Amino acid sequence: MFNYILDLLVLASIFAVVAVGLNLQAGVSGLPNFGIVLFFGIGAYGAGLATKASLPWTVGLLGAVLVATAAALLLGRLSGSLPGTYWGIATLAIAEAVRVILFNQDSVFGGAQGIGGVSLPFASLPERTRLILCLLVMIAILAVCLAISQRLIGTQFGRALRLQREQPELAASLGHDLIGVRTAILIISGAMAAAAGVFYAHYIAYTGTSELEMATTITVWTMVVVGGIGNSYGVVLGALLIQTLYSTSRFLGEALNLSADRTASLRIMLIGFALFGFLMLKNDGLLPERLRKIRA
Amino acid sequence: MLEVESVGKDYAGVVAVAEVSFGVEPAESVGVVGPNGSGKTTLLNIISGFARPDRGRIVLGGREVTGRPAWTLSGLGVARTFQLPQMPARMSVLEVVLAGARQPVSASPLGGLVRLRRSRAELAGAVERADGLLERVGLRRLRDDPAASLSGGQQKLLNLVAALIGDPRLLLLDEPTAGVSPPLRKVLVGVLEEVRAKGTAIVTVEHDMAFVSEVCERVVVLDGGSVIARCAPSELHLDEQVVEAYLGKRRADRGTRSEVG
Repeated sequence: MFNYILDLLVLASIFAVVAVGLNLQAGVSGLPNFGIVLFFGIGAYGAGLATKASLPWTVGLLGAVLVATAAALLLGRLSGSLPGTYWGIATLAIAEAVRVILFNQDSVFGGAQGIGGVSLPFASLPERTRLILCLLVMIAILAVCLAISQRLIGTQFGRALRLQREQPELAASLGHDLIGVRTAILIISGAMAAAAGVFYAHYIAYTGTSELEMATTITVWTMVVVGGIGNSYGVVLGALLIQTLYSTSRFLGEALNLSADRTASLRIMLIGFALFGFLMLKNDGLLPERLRKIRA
Repeated sequence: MLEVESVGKDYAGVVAVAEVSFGVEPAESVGVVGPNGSGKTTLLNIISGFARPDRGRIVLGGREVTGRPAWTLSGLGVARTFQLPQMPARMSVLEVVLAGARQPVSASPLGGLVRLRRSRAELAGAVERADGLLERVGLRRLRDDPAASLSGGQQKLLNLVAALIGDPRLLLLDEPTAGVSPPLRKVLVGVLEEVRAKGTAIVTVEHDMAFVSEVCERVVVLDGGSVIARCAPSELHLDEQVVEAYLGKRRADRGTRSEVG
């Protein structure tokens, strides 16, 4: 049971990092990325491909961050020609296209089988110690991402992001390069999501397309919406709550005597209800974004 | 300081600005007037980098800047306000002004993350200036309120303050008095005088002729996308073509009207 809780917390902190990244895009910058899983997948495949090529995990991480940066540059450029929602649809389409390519390309990406045998961190230690160490590492990564996020929101760069989120013309007239600031935040948050993907692949010792489905994107969006879009601490809370709902739904499935397939569907349904419920009843989330008071 | 040279723009085959040329010197205040649809706002959008001209050149301080994006022009000292500025709901009044202040260190993500002391010093200086400007236009007590909660006239003054905190060399105003109450209008006239005294050139697109007479030395009159007259504001009602453009062909209703169009 204790191991089960540790596992839940590790997964919650991995997805909290993705959620903090998505919040920087969708919450702080008004960039509705419906393909956030693309960055996560770049990380997971970075870990997988490094394993396949017998390279150390750091190479996988570095490669993933570089590819994520390239993807961010492309999406940033795209944000100049496609306004708001259309940009969001494009991100969804790109993420799906990449998933389908990975799913069907066997020789490099392992196709439907994915890439197994990704090295487990701290593999030689007893299970409980291993989980605790994984959790500590992940919490440290989350803390760094959270600190970067919190700090950036309050800088002039953050003000440019938040002003262009609501009033792009006003922001441009005050000297803020719209494409530049959007691209910069996509690179920073994309690197966060990619790092989470690298760690995830190592944690479950496998890289595949099953986590690159739309459902993962929706789960992360639900974390952001439930926690409080625009509020970094809120989305971490949202990640913890939604991951708990996700993990514990297994017991609900057992209690209802459902097959594994049905339990998986039940999970997605529960997350869907959570997202819909919050959108209808409390769309600013549990910890809403607040106006920033400036001292001095 | 600003040269607009034979600038023109079409929208889907319709001529918005046919061919307009004029210049503005430092500390000079020029009004651009004309009936609705005469191309005033399009012209302002071209000068401020919000629209790309199909013809002609924009030269700023001897340097051609035609077609540069708004943020580049802002960096070169061009500021503008909007006819109906929409302020953000999730930022305070003070934050909107700060967004207009030059803070090169903390405007870069790396600088903001790493150079904490420099960022803090920049912010402190900007807050002090912002508070002074907000005080000047009577918005200081609202500094921590959501910017979107201000009245229409207050939002226009906020837009002006955010544009001014960057110390522009050229200030472009799009109908600054529309929707502004008489007391705020008085503040506006005073602020513009101070800005000019510092050497900033001002171009004002405006319908309110009384205001134009008050703040502009020269007027460029547009009709159908072309310049039909250049004169002092006091001579506007004497120009047959101008009167016709505004009022149609009939006897001029001598100069007493303050709001036309």
